[in-house]
Amino acid sequence: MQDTITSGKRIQTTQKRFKGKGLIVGFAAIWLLAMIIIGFSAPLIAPHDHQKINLLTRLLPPVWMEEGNPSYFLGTDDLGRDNLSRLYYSIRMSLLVAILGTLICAVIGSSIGFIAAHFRGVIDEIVMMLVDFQASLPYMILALAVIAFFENNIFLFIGVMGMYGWEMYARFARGLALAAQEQGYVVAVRTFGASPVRIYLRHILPNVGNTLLVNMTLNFPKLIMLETSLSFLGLGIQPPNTSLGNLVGFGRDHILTAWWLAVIPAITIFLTTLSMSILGDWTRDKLDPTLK
Amino acid sequence: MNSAYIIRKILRALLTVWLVTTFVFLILRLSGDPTVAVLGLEASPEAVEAFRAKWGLNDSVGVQYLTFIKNALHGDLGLSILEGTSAFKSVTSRMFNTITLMTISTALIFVVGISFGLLASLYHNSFKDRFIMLFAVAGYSIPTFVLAVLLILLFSIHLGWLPSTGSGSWTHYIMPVMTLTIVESAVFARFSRSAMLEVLYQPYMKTALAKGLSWQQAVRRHALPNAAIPVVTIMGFWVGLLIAGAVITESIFGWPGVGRLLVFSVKNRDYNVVQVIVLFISCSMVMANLAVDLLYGWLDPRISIEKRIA
Repeated sequence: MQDTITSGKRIQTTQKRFKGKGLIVGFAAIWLLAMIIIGFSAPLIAPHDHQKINLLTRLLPPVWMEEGNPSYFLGTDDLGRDNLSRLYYSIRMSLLVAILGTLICAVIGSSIGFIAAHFRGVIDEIVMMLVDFQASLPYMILALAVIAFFENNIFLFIGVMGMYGWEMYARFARGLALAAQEQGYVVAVRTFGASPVRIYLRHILPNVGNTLLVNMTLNFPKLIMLETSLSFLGLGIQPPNTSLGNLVGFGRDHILTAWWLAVIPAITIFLTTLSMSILGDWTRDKLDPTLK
Repeated sequence: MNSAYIIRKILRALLTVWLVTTFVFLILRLSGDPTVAVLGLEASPEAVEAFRAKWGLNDSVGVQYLTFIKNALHGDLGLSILEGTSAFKSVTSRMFNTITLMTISTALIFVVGISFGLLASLYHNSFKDRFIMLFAVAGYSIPTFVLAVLLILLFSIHLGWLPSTGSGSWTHYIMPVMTLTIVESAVFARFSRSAMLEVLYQPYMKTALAKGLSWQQAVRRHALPNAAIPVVTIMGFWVGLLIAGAVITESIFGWPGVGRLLVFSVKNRDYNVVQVIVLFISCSMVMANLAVDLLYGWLDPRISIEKRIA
C-alpha cells in the first residue's frame, strides 16, 4: 500500500490484480439470467399445477433422498403441492415485485428530485425535508404499519415496495440536475425555447442516467430482501400467491422434519440478492466510479 | 458551532417526531377499526358497541387525534388493547431484552466490521482485500431471516448445541447476536473500507510519507482521523436503530423484545402499542441523528455547518 501511494498509482504495482473477479461477475450474471428466464416461463416449465393440493403425497423429500419421487423433483409440501412448481412461481412473484418496485421507485424518486431542482425555493425545502424525514425512519417500520393495517393486497404491497428508497433517487436526481442546469448544453437548449419537460427528459436525464441506473442496481437486492422478509413474517404476499419469503416462512414450521422446505428457497434468495449485489457493484465501478 | 444551528436542529428533530407520530396515527385510524380483529366476527352487537365506546372509536378521526395528543402530552399513551395494561409499560417491559441484545451486537458489529474494513483498505486490490470484500458482499446480501434459518438448522437441529428460541440463558444470546453481527458488520466493513480508501489516496498522505513519517505514523496521524468522520456518522445512525434494528431477528428467535412485540401488535392491530413503539423508534433515531450532527461539527471544523450536505 505504501509503495502504491508513493508511486502515485491507484493500482498496486507489486501485486498482480485479483483475477477471479470476472469469473464471479460471470456466475452472478448467469444466475440472474436463469432466474429471469424461470420467472418469465414459470407457467410453461412448472411440472405440476403449483396450487394443486394432493394429501396423498404430503411432505415427500427431494428426488435424491430416500423415498424421493421422480415426478416431484424437490418433493412436496405439507399439503402435497409440488415444491419445484411452487419455487418457480415464487421466483416469478418475488422478481415481479422487485422489478416493478424498482421501476416505480426510480420514476417517482427521480421526478421528485427533478421537480425540487427545477422549482427550488419552498418546494425544494419541502422535498428535502421529506427526504430527511424518510431517511431518518426505518422503512420497514413504515411498511409494516401501512401493510398490516390496511387490507393487504398485491397492488398496495407493490405500491409500498415502490416507495422504498425513493429518497435516494430524489437526492441524486436533485443534486445532478442542479449541477447540470449550469452546464452549457442545458443553457443552450433553454435559449432555443425547449420546454422544461423536454430539457429534463431529453437532455438532463441521459446525462445523469448512469448514476440513477447504478442506484437502481443497488436498490434492487434491497427490495428483494424487504419483500421476502415481510412475506416471511406473514405480512407480505398472501396465499394462495407465494413468494420466496413465504416458502421459507412455511418451511420453518417443518424445519425439524423437512429441512429442504426452508433451505432451498432460502438459498435461492441468497444467491439472487448476492448476484444482484455483485453485478450492482460491478456496474457502479464501470459506469460511475465516483460513487465508490 | 453556533447556538442558532443547534436550536434549528432540535426544532427539526421535534418536528420529525411529530410528523412520524401523526403519520402513523392517521394510518392506524384510517385503516378501519380493530373491533373485528380483537373481538372476532361472532361478537354480539352490545359487545362491539361497548368496545367502540371504551376505545373512543365512535368519535371522528380529528377528535380522536386531539384526545390522543392531549393524553400523550400528559404522559398517557393509552392502554394495550390486547393486554389491557398501559401500552407504555408493555413496551418498556420488553425494552431491557432488546437493549441488552443490541448492545452486545453493536459492540461486536463495530469491532468486527471496522477492523476488517480497515484491513481491506490497507491491502487495497490485493488478495486479502478481495477475500474480505467477497465475504462482506455475501454478508451484505444475505437477508437476516435466511441467515437465521440456516443458523438454526446448523446449530440447533444438526449439531444440537444451541437453543433455537427464547431468552433464558446466555446461550440464547449466541445465535441472535451472531445473526446481527454477520449481517451488519458487512455493511460497516464496506463502508469503512471506502472511507479509508477515499483518504489514503489524498495528496496529503503522499506528503506525509515524503516528509519522512513511517507508514504506521502516516496512517495513524493522517488517514485514520480523516476517515473517522463518515464512519462515525454511520455508527450514529446504527445506534439510532437500537430499538428497531432487530425486528426480524427477534421475531425469528422468539426473543421477547420490542421488535417481536411490534410484529405481534401489528398482526393483532393493537394500535396503541404500535403507536408507542413507533414513538420510541422515531425518538431514538432523531436523537442519534442529532448527536451525529453535533458530533460532525466537532470532529470536522472545516465543514461549514450552515451548508446543506447533499
